[in-house]
Amino acid sequence: MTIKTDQQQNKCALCRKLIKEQQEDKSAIHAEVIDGTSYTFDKNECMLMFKRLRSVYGAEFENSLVPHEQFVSDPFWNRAIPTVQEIKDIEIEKKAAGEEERVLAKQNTIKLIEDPDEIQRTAVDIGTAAKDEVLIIFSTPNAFHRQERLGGIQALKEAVEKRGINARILTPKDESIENTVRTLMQQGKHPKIEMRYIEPSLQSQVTTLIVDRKSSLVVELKDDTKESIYEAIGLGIYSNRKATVLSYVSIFESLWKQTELHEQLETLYEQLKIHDQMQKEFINVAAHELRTPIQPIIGLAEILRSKKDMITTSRDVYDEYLSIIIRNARRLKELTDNILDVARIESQSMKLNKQKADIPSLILQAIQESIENQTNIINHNVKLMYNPSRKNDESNIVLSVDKGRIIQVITNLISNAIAFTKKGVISITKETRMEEDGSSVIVTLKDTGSGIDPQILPRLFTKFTTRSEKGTGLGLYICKRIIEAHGGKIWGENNDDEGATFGFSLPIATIR
Amino acid sequence: MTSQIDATSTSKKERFWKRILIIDDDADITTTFKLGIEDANGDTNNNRRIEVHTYNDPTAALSEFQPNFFDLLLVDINMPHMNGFQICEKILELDINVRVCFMSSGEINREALREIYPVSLGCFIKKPVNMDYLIERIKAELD
Repeated sequence: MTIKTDQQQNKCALCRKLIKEQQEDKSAIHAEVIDGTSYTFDKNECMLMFKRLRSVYGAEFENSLVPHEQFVSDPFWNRAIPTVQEIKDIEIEKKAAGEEERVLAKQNTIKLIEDPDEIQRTAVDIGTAAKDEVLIIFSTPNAFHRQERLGGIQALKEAVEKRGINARILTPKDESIENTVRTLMQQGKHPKIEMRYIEPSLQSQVTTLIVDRKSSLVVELKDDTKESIYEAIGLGIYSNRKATVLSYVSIFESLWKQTELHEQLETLYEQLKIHDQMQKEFINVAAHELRTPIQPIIGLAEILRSKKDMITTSRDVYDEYLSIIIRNARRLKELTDNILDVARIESQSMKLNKQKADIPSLILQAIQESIENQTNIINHNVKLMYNPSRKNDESNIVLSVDKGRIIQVITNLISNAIAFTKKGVISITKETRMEEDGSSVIVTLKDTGSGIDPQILPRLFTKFTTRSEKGTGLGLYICKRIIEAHGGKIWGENNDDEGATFGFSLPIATIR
Repeated sequence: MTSQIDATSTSKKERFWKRILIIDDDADITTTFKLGIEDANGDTNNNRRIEVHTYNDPTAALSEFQPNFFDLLLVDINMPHMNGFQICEKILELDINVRVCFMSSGEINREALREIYPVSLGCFIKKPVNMDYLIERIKAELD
């Protein structure tokens, strides 16, 4: 704003007043001798002058002033309001501002404000007087940014932090608002500024400020493309009439609520999309897993039919073909059973057929089934260890469970352990554990395999979670639901050295 | 289930009409296809015998691949570590003359497939496939 126009004297290019630089704080003080009297001005007054000049000459003034202060100063000076007059104006303005305060303080008032400067002043005045709550609806993202540049947002943040008032802001969003909000949220020790985004279609032509549910200021938007508030805004209506203010409050609250619903809807929509994606992925995986075993069954059956006469001659080939067919038929059966189980679980029609059974015999049956189905055990690549344990062990207790379902869980855990332990040891143990809510029988399977992928660990028991090359991600989900239906818990974790341990508990008291 | 390729013996190649390489991660499928295709040799005259080599690990199939040895590549699309398109691209770099048939048991839309892989989509086989149809399709491709 200031420039040295003379070697001897520092003059303000704008108001042409003399500038006396204060050594201590470097801030400029303008001084001039008019009619033998010395006047001093601070920067703010010069700023007022600047605004006045701009209001007369528009953007041209600002654009040409900055690069060419010296050049433009004379013609502008000649056309501008004389200093004496300006001082008078300032005095009048100050007086007017005083009256304005009195108007604002008067009860049951509605005031139409035309001067953008006064609108902004009123906003600051009623905002700083807030004792309890500030509500703002911005018309456009730019309205938010204009206020941000003028320091309004920062002032509000300070008011919230220092005076403990609550503030809620509704604004249509753009990318940089999101950044501001993020910083506001990070910096704020008192998270009392809440912000929500209005859907663009709900964006309005007025910015509304409501303070303490007692006063409101509604400001029209004139030209949203303008950066300066003086050019961007139109009329302002101040009111402290109860009927008006409370109507604005209810508009705010309904928009606030609607935005909340909208946000919830968006979250739900995102979840639905994820679910939909998972369903699609499941169909892809299921299609692949269901069709793959069909190929050897059809293919080898066709080959066998074409070789009817030769079968007797090569018994071994015949056996090999048949065992491939049977193995794939079993794969198909397992998968269809799993898919049907999931359907039963989701329609809540999985019924437990409880019978008396002891855990050791269920473990033994599960091992027996696994040996029949798992080639890796037969090939001795994987050693399955189980010690039915000491006599009088309480874990041999007879429980009332759905035997088939518990065997299904143990078999599933064994088959997973084998799938991830190409070569190694799987040991099964059982014990009784006393806990606050009663005692349980615990069965654990510890393997020396590749362990659980950390990526899937958090959603291990969720549907469609798989890291296996041949897996639909249904097995552990079904296991969890079966164990939970028995009132127990299931878990899985990586061992410190290698492999993983899976376990489940069945409460004794509740089942017996 | 991996076959060793004896590329040194050119005389051996003459005993067969064509050689095909099947890559599928499911061992039962490669066994079935090998048996089916080689058994069909007995039905036709000896001039049109097909020799089948199989791999269940696409990485091994690639590292052991011999150029100018195979006439047709029958490759599964959904495989771990390297999918059918990727391996096909690498194999075509080694041997531009080998023909390619893709196969899949997944939900694959041919239109979508054409977008992903616009080249050589002349041959696509959906699993499960009838053995007669498979052999017919392969022979048509080899002719």
